[in-house]
Amino acid sequence: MSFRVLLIPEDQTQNGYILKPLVGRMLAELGKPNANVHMPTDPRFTGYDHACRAIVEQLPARYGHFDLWLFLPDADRGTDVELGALENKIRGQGINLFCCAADPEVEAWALAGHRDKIPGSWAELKLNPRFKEEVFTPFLAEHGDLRAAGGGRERLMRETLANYRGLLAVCPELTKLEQRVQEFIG
Amino acid sequence: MIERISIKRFKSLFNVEIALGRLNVFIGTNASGKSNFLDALRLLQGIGHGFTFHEILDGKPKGAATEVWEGIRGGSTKATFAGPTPADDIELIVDGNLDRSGESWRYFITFSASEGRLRDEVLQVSGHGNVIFLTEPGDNTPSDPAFTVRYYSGKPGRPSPLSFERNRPVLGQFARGDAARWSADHAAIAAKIARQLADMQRIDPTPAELRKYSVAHESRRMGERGENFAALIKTITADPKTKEAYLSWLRELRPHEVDDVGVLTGAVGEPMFKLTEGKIEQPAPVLSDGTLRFAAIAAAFFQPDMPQLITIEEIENGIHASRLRLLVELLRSRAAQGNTQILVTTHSPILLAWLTAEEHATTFFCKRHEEHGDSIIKPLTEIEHFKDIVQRQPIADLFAEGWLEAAL
Repeated sequence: MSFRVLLIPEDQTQNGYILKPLVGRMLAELGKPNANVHMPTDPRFTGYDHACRAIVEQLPARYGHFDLWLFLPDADRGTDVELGALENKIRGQGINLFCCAADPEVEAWALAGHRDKIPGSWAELKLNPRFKEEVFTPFLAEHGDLRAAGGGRERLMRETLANYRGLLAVCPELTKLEQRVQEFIG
Repeated sequence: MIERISIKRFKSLFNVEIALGRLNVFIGTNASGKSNFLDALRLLQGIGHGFTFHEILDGKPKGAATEVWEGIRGGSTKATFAGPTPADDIELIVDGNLDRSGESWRYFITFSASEGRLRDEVLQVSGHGNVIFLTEPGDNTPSDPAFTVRYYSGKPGRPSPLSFERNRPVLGQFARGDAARWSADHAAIAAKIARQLADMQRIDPTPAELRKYSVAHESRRMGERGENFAALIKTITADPKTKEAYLSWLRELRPHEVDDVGVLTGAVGEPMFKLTEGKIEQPAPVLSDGTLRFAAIAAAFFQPDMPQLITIEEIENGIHASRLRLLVELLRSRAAQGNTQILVTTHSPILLAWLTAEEHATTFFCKRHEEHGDSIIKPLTEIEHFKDIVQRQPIADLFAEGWLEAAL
């Protein structure tokens, strides 16, 4: 039986292009290249609050038997305290949930491998509270291809993952997540 | 783009008027009128081509300069509404605009389906004096062999009468021009509108066709059933950026990493579609029906020669339920960026679930009137209580359970 991972984004339509290849690669690096990474499509999440509710109320009945759940929201909504409480709450149902909030937003993970094409320091860019609108979207318009899946997110992420270790080096929250998953896998 | 269309007395569409958007989805039970609506668009396409009414309805064999034109299902004998108030004349009113110039136009036509004769026709274009030509009462009697319209040249005085063949629309005849009788400028604008109507593409790719070697070596547009699909792929993949964008959709479809898309070449250079996964070539004959159908539908949106309007019936056929999200994203993405208007029909509640609230305004529910038998076509947003209930109930359930049918 393959290792089954439930991937929970805030929004399946756009974040999925970034998160699914990322999680697949992380698991491959940790010795689980054939892990089954599943992103649920029902319910269709409409944001952070909706995803949190679904984690507690709807998803356990259908995915409670999965080996690991990963919830990867944006850091602007999910604080460590909140996400820690969510993990504890769901643990009571026998579910292993790891949360990792993208700093500042999931789109930063896709852009991490393209820093050389963005003016300004990466640290300063990550402080922008409107990272998606003011950093990512203009970058996608210039370097992506609106005709492609996810408007080009799929390609950006694939290129970023070509230097997976480089991604983790500039996104410490992912390093922490990888360590937790590694310890879990054992 | 066609903005609004009104159809009267055509098949089950006794009196239907709807405003279209860039992406339009038609839902409803079997025989509710979805396909008849698409057939009405095909009527317009035939008008745009300048065919006679009998050719439009009954078909036209291949000519020296024209392809085979398949008639409308049922032909001229079944073209008009056959309910309690049967009729013989079909009426179409279309409002559109020309994408590049932004000029808006209105085209009105009434014709007898059984006789194949014109009854009334009007062309109006903003910025060109509004009315270009119209029919005046008394100018035509039913037995007249020719058909007279009044031409508005923009000059003072009574509009001059122009005579045309009566067995085909004036639009195409006027578009051909006659400098002695009407202005070349007006003929040119009519030609643009006729081309816009003619430039529709029906996509219904069949896996058997998609598995074949293409006859053409390169192609800028695919045939209705997927003819020259591989030749189109060869053309698409010749440009690295377009190839990458096309490939990105296929990567999302397949469970295994797709490394490449391209063609195999036959003995005399004829292409056959192939995917490469993990360095293993997967030619079209070994690929699943669903993969091929999705690949063809995606390719239709990367055609170098894009039509003004694409129609795809039962778009979800052969495509796994978990990949319908991808299909909706493909349609949405191409409708937002291209100049092509998209009309699809579906029976899939799952596909419906991936539409946004804004897209409900151009998602049309079709049903037959319980008493009169005619088709009713309404956007979801105009169905009573829909906007409130969809906030609390999944739209897929409302559709599958029959709530929409009962509500309309």
